[in-house]
Amino acid sequence: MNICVLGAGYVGLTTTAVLAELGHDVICIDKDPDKINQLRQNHVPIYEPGLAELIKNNSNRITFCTDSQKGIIKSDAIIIAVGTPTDQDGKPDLTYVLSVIEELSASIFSYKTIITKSTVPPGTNEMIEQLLIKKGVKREYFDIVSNPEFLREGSAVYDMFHSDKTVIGLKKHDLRSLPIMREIYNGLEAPFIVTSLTGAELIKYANNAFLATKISFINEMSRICDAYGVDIEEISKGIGTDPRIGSQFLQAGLGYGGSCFPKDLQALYYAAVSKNVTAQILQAVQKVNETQIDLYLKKLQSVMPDLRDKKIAVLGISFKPNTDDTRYSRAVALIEKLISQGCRLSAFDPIARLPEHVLEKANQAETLEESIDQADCLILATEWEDFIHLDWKHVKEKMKGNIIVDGRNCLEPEKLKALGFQYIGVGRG
Amino acid sequence: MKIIAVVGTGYVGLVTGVCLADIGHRVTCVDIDERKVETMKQGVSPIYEPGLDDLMKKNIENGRLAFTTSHQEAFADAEVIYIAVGTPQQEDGSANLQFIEQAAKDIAENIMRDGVVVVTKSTVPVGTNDKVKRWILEHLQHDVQFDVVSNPEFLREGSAIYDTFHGDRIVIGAENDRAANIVEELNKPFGIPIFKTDIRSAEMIKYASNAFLATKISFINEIANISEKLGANIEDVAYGMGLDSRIGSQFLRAGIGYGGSCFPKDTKALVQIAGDVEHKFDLLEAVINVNNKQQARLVELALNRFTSLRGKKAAMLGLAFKPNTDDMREAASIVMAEQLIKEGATVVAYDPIAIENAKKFIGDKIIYVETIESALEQADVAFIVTEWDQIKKLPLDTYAKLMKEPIVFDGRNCYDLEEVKKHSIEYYSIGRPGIKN
Ligand SMILES: NC(=O)c1ccc[n+]([C@@H]2O[C@H](COP(=O)([O-])OP(=O)(O)OC[C@H]3O[C@@H](n4cnc5c(N)ncnc54)[C@H](O)[C@@H]3O)[C@@H](O)[C@H]2O)c1
Ligand SMILES: NC(=O)c1ccc[n+]([C@@H]2O[C@H](COP(=O)([O-])OP(=O)(O)OC[C@H]3O[C@@H](n4cnc5c(N)ncnc54)[C@H](O)[C@@H]3O)[C@@H](O)[C@H]2O)c1
Repeated sequence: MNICVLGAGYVGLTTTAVLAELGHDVICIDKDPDKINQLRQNHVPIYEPGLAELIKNNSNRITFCTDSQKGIIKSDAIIIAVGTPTDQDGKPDLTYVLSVIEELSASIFSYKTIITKSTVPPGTNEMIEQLLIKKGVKREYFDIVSNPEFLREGSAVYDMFHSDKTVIGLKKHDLRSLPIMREIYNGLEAPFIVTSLTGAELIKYANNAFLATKISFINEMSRICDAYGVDIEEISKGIGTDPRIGSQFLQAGLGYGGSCFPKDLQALYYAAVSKNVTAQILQAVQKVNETQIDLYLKKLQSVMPDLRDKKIAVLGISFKPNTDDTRYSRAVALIEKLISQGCRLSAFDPIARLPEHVLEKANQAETLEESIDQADCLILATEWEDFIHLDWKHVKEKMKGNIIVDGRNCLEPEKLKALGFQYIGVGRG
Repeated sequence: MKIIAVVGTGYVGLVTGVCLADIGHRVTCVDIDERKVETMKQGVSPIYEPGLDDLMKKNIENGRLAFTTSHQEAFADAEVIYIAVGTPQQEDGSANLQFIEQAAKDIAENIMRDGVVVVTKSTVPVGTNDKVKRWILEHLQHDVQFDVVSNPEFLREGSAIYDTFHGDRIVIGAENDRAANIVEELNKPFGIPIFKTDIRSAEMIKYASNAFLATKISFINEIANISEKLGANIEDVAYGMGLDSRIGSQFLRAGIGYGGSCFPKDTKALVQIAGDVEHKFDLLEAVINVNNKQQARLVELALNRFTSLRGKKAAMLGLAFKPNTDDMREAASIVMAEQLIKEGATVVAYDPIAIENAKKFIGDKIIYVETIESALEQADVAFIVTEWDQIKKLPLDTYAKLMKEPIVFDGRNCYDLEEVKKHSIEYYSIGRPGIKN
């Protein structure tokens, strides 16, 4: 099938590569000419394991370009994968989706299946349909499908091949789109869940909101464990064996970040409020997450009351391991907090770069050695595999101080204490 | 084989005693309630629990299971003593430990041999086992050594026997290896994974797991309320989420909330446990609030539909807090009965098992009937409260046949909407579009 993917970000590029691998001809459009140029020169602008190879192996079936009209006209199915950030007060910002609608309405002259992969608030797909009609697109020329994406950055390619579900939201009397969707995903094993447009939109939000709830739950438990001298890791193990709970996402730490959880929670909360439903749980989940950094700061200050001019090494910048994405990264938020306390920051990450506005006030170390050299304190903010297995004896020798803040509870306190470190985790007895 | 005593023969104590006897131990169960003990001696269970009667009889007959009201008799040669008395909640939500303290004193006064292991099965706040140790030490009559072990119970009423033999894990919190190993050894025949930890962690694990499960229920109910307003179907949403292995499909059933003797009390107790160390457990408080509102949700929906329920005959199908149990503690039906009476409705309620218990909680303000049919006969409105099989499987045309007008509020989403559409019925459920045929 000829497919056009709008947006060459994490989702758009992964979709492009996977659909090409499944045998489709894919035109991937981004309005950022710089990105498209890089892609044309075989350079993938984001870090995602396996993605560059997959694109390379299928280059005969992939075209990158900036001209959306060309892509749309040539294709049977259009996949919307542009960003949907939130504005200042947590309301979803649909600017990019609206610009896509503009482009679509100028380019549809024969039947297309329009598929929304971007995470959009409940009701958006209905709105897209109405807008297209209002802008003069003939109703018989398109059907709209909500097909939210569940991949995780850092394992995006793997996730798309091994997804636990393909969610398909359809208009009530749409009989045409389902077979088309089956053809597009032919070769993937994930079961189809077919529901309404709004149902599909909600599944995406509810999914992320629940995982965030799990994280905030265990983080809140860890605060209580702290006070009672109980090890939160024992609690996670003890409750995780219950299949109704499950052991994943029960890791206490600095909280969730990234381009999805924070914004999806806000958006869902906003959708509820706009219908006069007070979503108390969502509210509490967000509050816990927001205050988690302060908790660590307080812990740090209890052993190092004056943070001014102290050199702090922060290991990890990305919002989680195996990605270069720093959107809503807790590590970055923590770094900003520490800067405001007058610390000297030296951050290191194997892949991710500090955002511009932080780079003015903090140092991005090019090597781990540089970051820890003469540091008064080391904070592990993102649990990259390399950091977990550091030669801690060596680290101790390089540092000036002996404080380790383990923001992900991923190190072994006993081992570190034996080496003379002062270990700070959360809820670790 | 161990010689075991179990203190308290409620849902937990009796099931534990019977199952321990069944795997080969010699068990004496002791309770202060004489009538209960008399009944049990006859091989009759005072509580409703599938499979319990048979297993009781079998083990009384083979001489491994006995009942008594005498602590002395039960403890005289016991090697292991289980505490399974109630830990109800007090006004402020915290756990009332008076029965635990009494049990500890009873133990202290009656143990005679060295090395007795005292195992707390009751759900108790962090630090309680330390207190149990102290209470026993304070009242100890003979100069003997003993250990305390925390071994929280995870069985569910309605499938308590099954759960005891097929649980996900047995949590053993001990202060030394000797005690931990004794409890591990005696549980081995169950063939369930054993997780050994320290005492405080074990105590906390119990609260954390119930709090998390309650969170899951309130979470899906909150999403259901959003779905309803947006015209989506919560069943689809829950199904889609549930396929994610990090979430899991269980406990994602939208409805009128959780009840029973555990979730409400354990969540409140954990809020209190957190409060004791100056932590406001925001998330769990939200979970509790959502649940309180949810229990009132169905009547609220009915009031939107009818404006007034004065003089209406309302049928309540199901009273127990969940199917397959006669337990009425914190059941949604209690809240609903209050609401309906206040609105001036006449309530006629059916439950296959829980009516006797319900009378203790709701009293004679409502009428109790033995069949679904007599509840629905000429009713103006029906509420599905508990998803008993016989209620879930009731053919949809029964409502139209028997009721004055078939208007049904289903608090447990028992019916498939496509099915409902085929019948002449007005049907409202939780987090799904209403249907008016
Ligand atoms: N990143 C994830 O892990 C993830 C997972 C699941 C779902 N999602 C959702 O998928 C969507 C995309 O996320 P992302 O992380 O890939 O975003 P991104 O910001 O990495 O990429 C979006 C891309 O779209 C381009 N774009 C914007 N307007 C365009 C237009 N009119 N035409 C063509 N290109 C345009 C931008 O230049 C950018 O390259 C979002 O709604 C997000 O919530 C993301
Ligand atoms: N019911 C459940 O589903 C469940 C599940 C897991 C854990 N738990 C926990 O287990 C504990 C017991 O719960 P339950 O539902 O079985 O309680 P219950 O109220 O049904 O039974 C308690 C029994 O203990 C007896 N008793 C009280 N003091 C005594 C004493 N000093 N000596 C002897 N007997 C005494 C009472 O007469 C009563 O029969 C509670 O802490 C509860 O939170 C219950």
